[in-house]
Amino acid sequence: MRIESVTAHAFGPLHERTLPLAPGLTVVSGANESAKSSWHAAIRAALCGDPSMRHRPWEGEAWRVAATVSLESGEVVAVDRDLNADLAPDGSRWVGLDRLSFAATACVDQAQLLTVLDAANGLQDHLRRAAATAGTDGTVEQALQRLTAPVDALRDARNRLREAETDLAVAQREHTRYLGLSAKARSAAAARARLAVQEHAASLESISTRVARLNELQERFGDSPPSGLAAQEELTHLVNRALAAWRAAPTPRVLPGPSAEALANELAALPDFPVGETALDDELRVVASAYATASAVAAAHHERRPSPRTNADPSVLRGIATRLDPAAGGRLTTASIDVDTARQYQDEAAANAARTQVEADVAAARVQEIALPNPFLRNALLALSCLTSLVGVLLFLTGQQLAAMGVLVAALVAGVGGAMSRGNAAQRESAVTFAAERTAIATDARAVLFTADRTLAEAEGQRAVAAEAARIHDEALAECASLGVPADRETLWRLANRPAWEAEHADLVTEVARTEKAIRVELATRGKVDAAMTVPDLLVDYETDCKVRARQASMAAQRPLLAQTLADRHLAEATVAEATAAHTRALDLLREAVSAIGGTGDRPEDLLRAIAEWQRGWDRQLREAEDERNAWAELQSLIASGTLDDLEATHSAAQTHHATLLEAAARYAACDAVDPSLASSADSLAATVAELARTSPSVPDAEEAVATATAVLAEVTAEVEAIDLASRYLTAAREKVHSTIAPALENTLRTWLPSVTDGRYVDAAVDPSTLTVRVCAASESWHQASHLSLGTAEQIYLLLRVALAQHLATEPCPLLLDDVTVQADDARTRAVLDLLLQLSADRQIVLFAQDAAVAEWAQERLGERDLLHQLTPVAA
Amino acid sequence: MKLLLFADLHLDTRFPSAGPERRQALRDTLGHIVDLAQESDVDAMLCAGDLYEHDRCSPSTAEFLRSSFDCPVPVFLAPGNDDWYGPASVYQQVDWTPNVHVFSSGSMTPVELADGVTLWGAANVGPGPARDVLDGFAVNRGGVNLALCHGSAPDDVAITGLDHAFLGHVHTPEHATDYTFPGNPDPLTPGETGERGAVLCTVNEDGSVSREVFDVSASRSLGWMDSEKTFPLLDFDTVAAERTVRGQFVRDVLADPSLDMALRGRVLSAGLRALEER
Repeated sequence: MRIESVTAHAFGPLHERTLPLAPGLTVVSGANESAKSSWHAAIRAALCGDPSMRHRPWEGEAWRVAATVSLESGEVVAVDRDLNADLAPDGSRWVGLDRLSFAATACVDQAQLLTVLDAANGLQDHLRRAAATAGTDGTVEQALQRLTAPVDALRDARNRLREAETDLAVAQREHTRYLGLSAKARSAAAARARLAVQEHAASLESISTRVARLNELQERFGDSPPSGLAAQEELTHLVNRALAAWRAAPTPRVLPGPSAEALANELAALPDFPVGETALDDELRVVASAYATASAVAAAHHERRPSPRTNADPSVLRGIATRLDPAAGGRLTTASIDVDTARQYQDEAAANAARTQVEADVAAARVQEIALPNPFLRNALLALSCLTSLVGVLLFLTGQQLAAMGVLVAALVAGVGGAMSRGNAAQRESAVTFAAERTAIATDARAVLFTADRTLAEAEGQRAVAAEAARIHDEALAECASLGVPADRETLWRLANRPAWEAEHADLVTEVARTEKAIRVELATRGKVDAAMTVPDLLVDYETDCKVRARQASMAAQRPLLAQTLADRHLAEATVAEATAAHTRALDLLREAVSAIGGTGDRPEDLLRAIAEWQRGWDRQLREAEDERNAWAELQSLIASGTLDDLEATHSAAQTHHATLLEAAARYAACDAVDPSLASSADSLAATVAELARTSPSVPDAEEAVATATAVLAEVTAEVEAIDLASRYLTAAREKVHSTIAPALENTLRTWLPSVTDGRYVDAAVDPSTLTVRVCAASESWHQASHLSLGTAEQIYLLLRVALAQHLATEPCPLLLDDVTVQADDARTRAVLDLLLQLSADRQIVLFAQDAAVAEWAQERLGERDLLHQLTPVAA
Repeated sequence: MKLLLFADLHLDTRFPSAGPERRQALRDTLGHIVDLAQESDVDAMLCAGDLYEHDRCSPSTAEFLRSSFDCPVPVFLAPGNDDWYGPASVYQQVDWTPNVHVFSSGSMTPVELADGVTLWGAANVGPGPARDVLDGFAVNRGGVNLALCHGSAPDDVAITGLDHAFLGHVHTPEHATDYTFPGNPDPLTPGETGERGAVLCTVNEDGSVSREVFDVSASRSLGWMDSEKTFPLLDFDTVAAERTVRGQFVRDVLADPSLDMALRGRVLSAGLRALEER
């Protein structure tokens, strides 16, 4: 960008004046009061606006500057700026700056120069500031120092949040306590109100009862006392006496059993004691028993009489009986079966023996077939093998290897032959063992066959014996048939013994006759003589007589007992007659009493019922009379404590009070049933609730305090995070920018330094981390720029300003220098002016100076691309 | 029949800012509602729950409610989930004047508003989420049947046989054919939309309801509307164009995708402020 011209239409002392500017170096020279500073300010104002108020026009209200600017693109822009209402754009934007950074970058005045040159780290600080903010604000280092986390604020915020949370917990706890106590106080108040209603209800009920009672009693009695009962004691006595007599009278007893008359008749009908035996006599019993035994024995013997009759000789009969053997047939059958079994067994044993014998013979033949091994040949071959081996070894040791090999081969052959000469020894041994086993089995089989033969012989012998017995039995049967007697051994024996039976039977008949005679004698002595009747019938007749007499004796023995019973009966019947008489008298008294009280009835129960009814009525009358007396006494008592009007007034007041209590209790209708014991604590609970209500902190206030403290803490925390991030971003940005700006500064210094210092300094370096500038002398020694002479430092500073302007601006930016040489001597001034002239080769430089030497230098050195304005003092 | 409906006043609730003033404004709002009820000569005033907040109610709330509703207009209150009915609730601590009826049962209970007009009401009877008292409920009488409850699903109204339900719990107002959510009459949260306030409901003989909304808010005109605090992000283009450390810093911060808008603004502000201070 290049400023073609600036026109001050109205700016400070300047009025409609134009200052053309050269594309190279423009020197504006003038003494004091020649409006140099105003032109300097006017150029800045024309480009960027926003001038200081001290540059307002000295006359008139208009405040206006204009400029013509050529841009790098070739565009020419005219800026006309009404500074009273500035709407024109900021011209510094065309070079990528703003009015502040333009002032810091493009404008250099003496004060800046002195500050940079005088301060120890002025140059470095300036570079840092320029790199950081284009010189408008602080350095990054200063900013980083300021970016410290607000630790105290963070701690305070946390503490405030903790306190707020604690307060909230307290408030919520108190609130919950308040609600609970309020409910309890409410319940207590409800209990008290209900209790008051309950208690007053009882009192009201009492008063109501008294009023009603007084009304009732007054209506009942008026002013007269009750009359009482009429005298009826006589009737009462009569009734009571009758009742006492009735209760004392015994109830007549109904006697059970036969009457005295029946007993007397029964006593008269009893028989006398009988004469004769009333039970069977013992002697007779013995004789009768002997007779019965003898008769029974004879009858039984007769039952065993031998039958049928036969004429055979008893010895013949006994022989037949001896030969009869009914079991002979069965034994024969059994023996035959045994023979068959033995024979079968014997056949099997014979076959087995034959077979095992054949096998034994075969085994023996096999043994014979296998030749016997020769133990001598085997031993001889083995010995020969050992011997030849030994010889072979000796030959080998003596070095006759060939011979030794031959001998050893022979030894090997002999050893193999000896080993193989054992042959069929094992086979023969197993054959011998097998043959021995077969022989043993054959021997066992023959032993079994012998046993079977013997068993068969024994069975056949038994069968022969059985066949003989059967034959004899058959012969005896044939004899029985011929004799006509049964073939029964026992019958035959009895028939053979018939004479002995007959003799024994005669003895028995004799004994029967003897005992019959004896018993007939005994019965005859007792009056039982009847030869036509048998002894048993006589005995039955006699026993019947004994039983009849025993019965008569038993009846006669009851006579004393019956006489006593009759006497007792007479006494009991007399007692019953006396009780009946007393009962009748009492019944008469009852009837008399019932007719006296006006009742009716004849039977005792009717009479008693009538008396009971009369007594109940009488008791009621007595109670009524008593009630009357008590009621009268109660009336007198009630009247004594107040009149009816007084009582009704009290009742009305109580009713009113009760209605009030009910209304109060109705306020607590929503309360559930509560413990009446709470009523006593109603006041204290109400006071506690009131105190709690006064002192309880507000829950929403506490919640809002927590919310506020939370927000503050979040804010501070975010600020801490932002500060931390800003520090890191700034540090990173510094590294980036310094890494680009440091080479730019170095390049500028390297380009210009040798020429502007006449070769005293040939190189320069800028530290990217600290932006420290060092220069290299021709002697190749490095020096910090700030340590150089003022003149050199001034040159380096101006070079750096140019480099900075070039780096920070997006296109070449004009430099406005205001009296930068005012403090320098002539040599320094000329050196600076020479430098500026060189620098103006590729950028526009405007230099304001009041020093006459500058004007002289300009007249001497400026070329075609440059311009000198010599200002005259402005009239006041 | 005219009824003045409101709900979700949330007395004693908390606010992000100006809490005490706004809580007082809530009480003033209730005063406006009662005044409106008397001026409009309504037959009853209905509150569909969340009249106050049980967990935060101040000791003075009970007396305030008692005195506020001490007026000639019948008042029907259906406790909600924030002002649930129970032994420790304010509803039981207040000696209500005879014109106030508090529904205290967890199931729908009828009250005869006028001949042939029944108001059914129920309470939330314990802490916890709002309960749908209309679930399983069915009208068992003739005439016009209205309901007053808190937290019920409006979809249930159609199958209960009710002519209209006055509901609370949903703060965004909704005026449907068979139900009305009046919304909170005084602002509670930022960004509330919809015309809300006390709703003057006219119940016609056929059970239909026509509505008119009255702004009764005492705080809306006071400008206490909370808004979400946002960090102003300035135009940093000029600074970012600088070939300085400051410009590089701004460019880096603006280019970092890991930073959210607020943190980015904070970082830029902190860094530039640190550079500016000399």
